[in-house]
Formats: sequence, C-alpha cells, structure tokens
Amino acid sequence: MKTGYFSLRQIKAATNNFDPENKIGEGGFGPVYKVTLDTLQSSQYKEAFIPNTLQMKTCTKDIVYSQGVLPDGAVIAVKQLSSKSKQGNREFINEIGMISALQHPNLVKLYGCCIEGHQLLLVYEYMENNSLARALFGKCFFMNIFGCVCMRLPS
Amino acid sequence: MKICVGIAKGLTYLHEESRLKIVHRDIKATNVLLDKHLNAKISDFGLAKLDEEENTHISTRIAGTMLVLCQSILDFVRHFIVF
Repeated sequence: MKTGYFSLRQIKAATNNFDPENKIGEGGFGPVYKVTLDTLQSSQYKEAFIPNTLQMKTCTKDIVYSQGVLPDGAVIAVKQLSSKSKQGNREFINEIGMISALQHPNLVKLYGCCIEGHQLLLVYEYMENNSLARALFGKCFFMNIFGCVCMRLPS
Repeated sequence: MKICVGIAKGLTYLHEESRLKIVHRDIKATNVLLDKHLNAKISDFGLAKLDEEENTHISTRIAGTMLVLCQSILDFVRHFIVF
C-alpha cells in the first residue's frame, strides 16, 4: 500500500485553517480534525490553477495520488502534531513506516502525510464512532477513569 | 464482543500474520477506534516496535501511557493484598 503526500495548503483549506469546529478529538499526538474528501479535492483543483510553478508541481502529484487511492466522497481525519506533544519526530516517522506497511480490516488506514516546516500531519480514514474509550466512558474520559481507579483500590 | 474479537484479530495480524512482526506497546481504549458498523480498528503506532524473528525476547525501557501503567500497577498490588 502506498502512502501519499498532501501539501499543507490543501489540508489548511480542507480543515478551514484548522478550525476548532472541525476538531474531533485530541490524542497523544495532538488534535485530530475531520475533513470531507470533497473539500480536499476542491482545494486541490483550486491550487492547480494558481500560476506558480512550485505549487503546480506539488499539486499535480497530489491530484494523481488522490485519484488513484482515495475513494470518492470518503471522509478523512487529519491528525496534527501539536507543539506541546511529547511524541517527537521519531514517533511520527515510526507511525508512517509501520502503518503504510500494514493493511488489515482491524487496523486504521493511513491515506497520507504532510511535512512542511514545523507542521507534521497524518491523514487517516475517518471513524464515525470515535474511540472505544468515548463509547465506554463518554466525553469526560479522565473523570471516569479516575472513578474506575478509585473503585479498583482495595478497601 | 464484536469489538473484542476485532481488537484480537488486529493484534494477531500485527504479531503473527503480517510480513513485519510488530509489537504495538500502547493498546488502550483511546487507541481503539470504531467505524460506523462498530468494527474495532487499532490506531496510534507511535510507540510500536518491530519484532525481529531472530530475537527470542525484546527488552526495552517501559513504554506506554502513564494512566494505563498506573492501572496495571494497581491491579498487581491489589492481587498481593487480597491473596
């Protein structure tokens, strides 16, 4: 399975410049955003018409990739490495290397990545029902975990 | 039940069936994602490690999330107190 590359402009346009409204959660890596493929594709086509040779170069690559791998109308999730995150560059590379080499119905699919300046982004398939933790404990995960730990303590 | 089997299938694939043998090292509820049909999918391979065949065991420093580690330690301590 090939892992594609997205430009930062594309992802910024698709997430509406990392609008908090598109944010679906925050992992160990940093915030995660929900993006529909339509917005990602339209941003690609918009970019392709910008008369700038450098941008044209990256865009044509991106269009080829999106037509080849991404299914139409798919919703994707963008994971952004936050500057506060403890997980470093090595773990970002580790994640790309590991997931791009694996393909299984019970492993999350990685569509691509973006490395530009200080921004490290991963593009995944979107999971409608969030995480198992959210399903078990609801939104206030840490308070529930705290409760569980207290219950487990021997009295 | 379906979710548990899904996680187990994913882990079996990582440990045994895939070309590269991988140890995830950070399996927890927040790293298991659910799609619209409630199929479990394992994510977050930031801490994952390759398990090379010639190694009979891997020894590394303790990895994982502090909260999950604390829970495991609590369970371990509880085991000794009860019995």
